[in-house]
Amino acid sequence: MSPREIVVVSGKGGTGKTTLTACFAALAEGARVMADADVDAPNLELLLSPRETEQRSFFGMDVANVDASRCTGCGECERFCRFGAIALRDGKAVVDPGFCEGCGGCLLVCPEECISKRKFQRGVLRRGETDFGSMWYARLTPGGENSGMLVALLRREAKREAVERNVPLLLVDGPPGVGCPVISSLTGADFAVLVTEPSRSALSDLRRVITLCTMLSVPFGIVVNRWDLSKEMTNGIRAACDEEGWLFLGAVPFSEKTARAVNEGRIPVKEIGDPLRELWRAILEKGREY
Amino acid sequence: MTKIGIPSLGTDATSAVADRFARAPYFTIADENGAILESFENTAGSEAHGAASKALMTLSQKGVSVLLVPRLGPNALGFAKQAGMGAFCADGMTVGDALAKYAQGSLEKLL
Amino acid sequence: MKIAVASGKGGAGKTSIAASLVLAKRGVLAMDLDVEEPNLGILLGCAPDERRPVHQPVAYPEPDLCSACGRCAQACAYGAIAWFGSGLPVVNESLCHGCGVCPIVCPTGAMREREKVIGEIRSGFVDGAPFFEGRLEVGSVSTVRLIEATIKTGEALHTDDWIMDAPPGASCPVSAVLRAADAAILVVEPTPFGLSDVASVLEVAADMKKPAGIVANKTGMGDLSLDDLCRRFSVEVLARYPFTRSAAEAGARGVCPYRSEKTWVWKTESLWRAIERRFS
Repeated sequence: MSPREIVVVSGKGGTGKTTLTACFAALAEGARVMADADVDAPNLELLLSPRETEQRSFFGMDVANVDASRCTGCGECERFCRFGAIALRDGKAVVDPGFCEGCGGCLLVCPEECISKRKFQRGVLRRGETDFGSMWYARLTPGGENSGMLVALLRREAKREAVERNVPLLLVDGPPGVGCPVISSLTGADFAVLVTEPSRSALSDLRRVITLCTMLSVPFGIVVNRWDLSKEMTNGIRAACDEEGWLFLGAVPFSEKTARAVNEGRIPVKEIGDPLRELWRAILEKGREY
Repeated sequence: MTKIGIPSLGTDATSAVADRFARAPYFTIADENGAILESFENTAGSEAHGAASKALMTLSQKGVSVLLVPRLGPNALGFAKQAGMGAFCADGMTVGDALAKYAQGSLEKLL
Repeated sequence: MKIAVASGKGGAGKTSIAASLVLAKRGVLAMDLDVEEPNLGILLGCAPDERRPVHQPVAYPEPDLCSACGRCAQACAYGAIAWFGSGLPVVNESLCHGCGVCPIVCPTGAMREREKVIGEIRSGFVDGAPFFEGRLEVGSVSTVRLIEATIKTGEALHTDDWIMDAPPGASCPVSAVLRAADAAILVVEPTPFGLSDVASVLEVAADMKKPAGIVANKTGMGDLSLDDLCRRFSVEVLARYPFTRSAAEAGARGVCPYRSEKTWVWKTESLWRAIERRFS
């Protein structure tokens, strides 16, 4: 049986996705598997403290490799490359693997046939054991490409383990934004928890991630974190939910106690208290009606 | 004869329908009477990109016109539509059950 | 001098600091390169109204010329083209990277490219200085392409000083911004999350040999020391902005703290001086 997969995203960064995902992991009853899909800036491990059991290199797309000894510096490859990955330096073509998207075009246009493809490690995928269940996490090599692919691989592995071990719940901490890695973390998910905060920027970003969820047919619900930083804006968000028919899951207040706990590496279940429990209950109950 | 393609976790009728299409470990092909014609490893599954199109091209080459799958992602859906394939929902059951339910007409139509 | 403002971790205050730097110095070109979630305009109090669409090529087969050989599907590295043994190949536009390979492998010239909208560049003015915002079409994966198109648009103006608001993270989109910058300001919340993420961006900046400086933001909430980080990457802390509830509430209303907090005014002026001292 497939697990129920809940992905936590936000649009805007810094709204509290990771903190809340860690709280859900702590609160959930029954077996669960966690995944940190923010492979660019993975932070869930700072709260869940996984004890590593497995580590794998992630290769992504092969990159182009120029045999400098046969390169004549004609520049055909540089002219062809649409991704700005090739530059001529000292009369030789040089490929920047961080920008090479592995299309293979330069191999085809090189008159000397001196370009080939090579494997290039773009990150590391890990599995670990936490107090709440196993966790899959990864880190993309800084400056690199293929974050969408790494996210897809990570979700696949986490899901595979959940299916094999009959674990009913998969909790995914998603990345910020609406681009490739976010799309990769949302496609096929059962439910998305959208964590926003009561600011104009966060609301603007929220609308964009809602558009994405709708495009990908992923049902979603909204959480307002640090709601008391602007009661006015929080009410505005609730009104928008009513008008647009968006599911409102709950609100969590701001507290310095919570921030301090997180900074000390502690999951702030106690510090947040009842609003968190009510939120989790809403996710479990209302989330299923969609 | 209608050829039916099913992503599966194993190679016979007692195997479970895989929980995903493009990267399932195997594909099993059967006819409309539920007889299994062949089962093969899905090599597209481990590829970096584009597993959906590669899997569909392979199945299409083998004459498959109906898919029994838990769900079709947006990429697979688009390609399957263009290939003129039909698809029905089979989730959480064995290959044998999926074929029986298809024959009864009790599976939900996806495409 | 083109200055990128990045952070690694989202929510560190990158956009607030970037907006403050723009507001503190007349004539600075402002550029919002967080194309997936552009917010700089909100804090600058500017809704840029001129819009220009940005495109990327996507492939399609010209039916009359297609010889149904299937070579395009075979050559596509992204699985964006499927061919079912006869008839026209099918291109999935959301997987198509616009790499230009299938048109050159097509033996009949049937495989062509058309332009597909990936987003837009919006432009306006802040205090008489140009402001450019890259805004990705939701559903598009062409973040880097749009970032580069926006930068190119600014380059056509040759304005001296730029402030570039970068996206969060440390992968390709951030690299694309740093590539165009002369120096990078990294905004850090001195928390374990903040420190962990900024190190990744500092690595990228170091690889590219771009000088960098740190701005500590939301200090005063039980801070971790930045000393090790600074030593490891040979960077300095150029300014420290304390966390205050009033600054947070101003930001929530969409008001740049530079406009509402006196501390932010003099700290930003001091930051500009430190930038000029360190990077010129």
